[in-house]
Amino acid sequence: MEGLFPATSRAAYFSIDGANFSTLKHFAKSPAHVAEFLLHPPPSTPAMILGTHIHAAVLEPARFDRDYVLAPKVDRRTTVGKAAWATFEAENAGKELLDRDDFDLVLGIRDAVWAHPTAKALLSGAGHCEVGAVWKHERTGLACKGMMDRIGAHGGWTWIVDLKTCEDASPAGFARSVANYAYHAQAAFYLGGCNAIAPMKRRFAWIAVEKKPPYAVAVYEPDSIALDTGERRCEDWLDAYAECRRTDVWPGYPDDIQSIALPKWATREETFSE
Amino acid sequence: MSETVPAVQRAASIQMGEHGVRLSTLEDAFRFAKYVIASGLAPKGIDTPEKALIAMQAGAELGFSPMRSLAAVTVINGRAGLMGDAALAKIRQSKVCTLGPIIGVRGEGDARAGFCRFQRIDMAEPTETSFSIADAKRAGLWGKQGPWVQYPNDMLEWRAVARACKRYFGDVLLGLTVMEELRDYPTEVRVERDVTPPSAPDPLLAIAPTVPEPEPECDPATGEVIPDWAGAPAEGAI
Repeated sequence: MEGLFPATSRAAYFSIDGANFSTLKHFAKSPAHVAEFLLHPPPSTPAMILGTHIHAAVLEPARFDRDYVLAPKVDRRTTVGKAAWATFEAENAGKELLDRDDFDLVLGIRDAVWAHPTAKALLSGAGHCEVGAVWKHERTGLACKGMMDRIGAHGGWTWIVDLKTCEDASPAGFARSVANYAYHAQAAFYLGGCNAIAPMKRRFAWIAVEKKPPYAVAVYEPDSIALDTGERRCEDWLDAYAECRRTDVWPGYPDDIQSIALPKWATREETFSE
Repeated sequence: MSETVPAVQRAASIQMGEHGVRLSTLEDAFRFAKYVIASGLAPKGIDTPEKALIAMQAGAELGFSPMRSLAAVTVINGRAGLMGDAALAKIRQSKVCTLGPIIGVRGEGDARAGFCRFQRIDMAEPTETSFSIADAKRAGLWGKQGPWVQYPNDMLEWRAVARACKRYFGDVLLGLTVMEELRDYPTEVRVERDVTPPSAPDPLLAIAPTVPEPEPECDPATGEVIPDWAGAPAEGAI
């Protein structure tokens, strides 16, 4: 079962056996963290759920309009309020209800992204959104999968596009997010996956949007060093994953005393205080 | 009462022992590093006393003498790396393996790979790491001028050793990267990106219906432009 699956639901995607980036990135700590993530997947947090709503609004605005609704502000402790709420629920059965704050936030982000000329160009035209991808990693033989926000054509290239909400979408701020959350490794993982399905040069872009007004938007492409570094990390993690699955040994941190060095920023003289 | 400070301080002598110089202070080590650079006998890549000092320190942490350190440790792009042969020697000397490391090259075509096979005392069975021509191609190393062209089999072997060192022998090598891998890392110089779009259509897009960009629509009553996101792929088309 290899290929792109544009119509794959999230539930169907989760049922596919394969190494995905959400799992692999825990190797940045240790195999034990990966095992814990696999055995006890953490429940969705409110921020994650809101992120899903934002993705729906930006990537599938028609579905958002159909499936989401602004919940009215009524006092459900009163008889009138209860009746109003019951009527509202009956009229909107099966829809996602968003309160005023979340609704405004989601629409603010959607409109800001679509008002950005490059973001709009990357999201428009031929392509697929919320695309499931399944492939075999050639060297380890591992089945891999990924859920890409979008794969589409722009300027003669095929772009894999990832929407990222963040606190700071400035070049310096977003570069920190890339490093902290290994977004560059995720980019390399998806590019490698598409290449395994159909070898071809493709490019990757992040649409970074801030979660607070004015919902500033920027579009970034990882440079070759970021992609090389990300690819090496992914390859190491995939090797480790294959080894852990083969031996069913998922070690934590080493038992020995380890030498520890300060991060570079902490060794600068001006960072010391009395 | 303050101590009397001589007007001119002479550098203290560096002690000599059975195995040559005994560097007991940082100043001793730095002076020695200066002599190494001045002698012109420093290995390639170690061209300043500071680099020589770092190489000696990195080697000392692994138990190497100053001169052995200079031969075994190299500094590339500001990072200290350990020569592959020195890394193997250190692993063998540490007695941490009950088997190997045994290294070699096998296979044909893109599957041809260097391998490093070993069994640590804390492992139930032997394991091995490998590095194939396909790996080298993917990393843009295959055909790269230098040792990858001159000694491709050796490079496959050393990269397999480097993988083993990184994944399994961090405790023995104190996290030092093998030089043969470090040398392959991209430098800080940004490589010009090839921005020529591919001429062939992408088969991954071929399965997608083409969604034409809509003309901006205006509300007839207000004249306001209807939001751009109305041009996004419709449900079912994604």
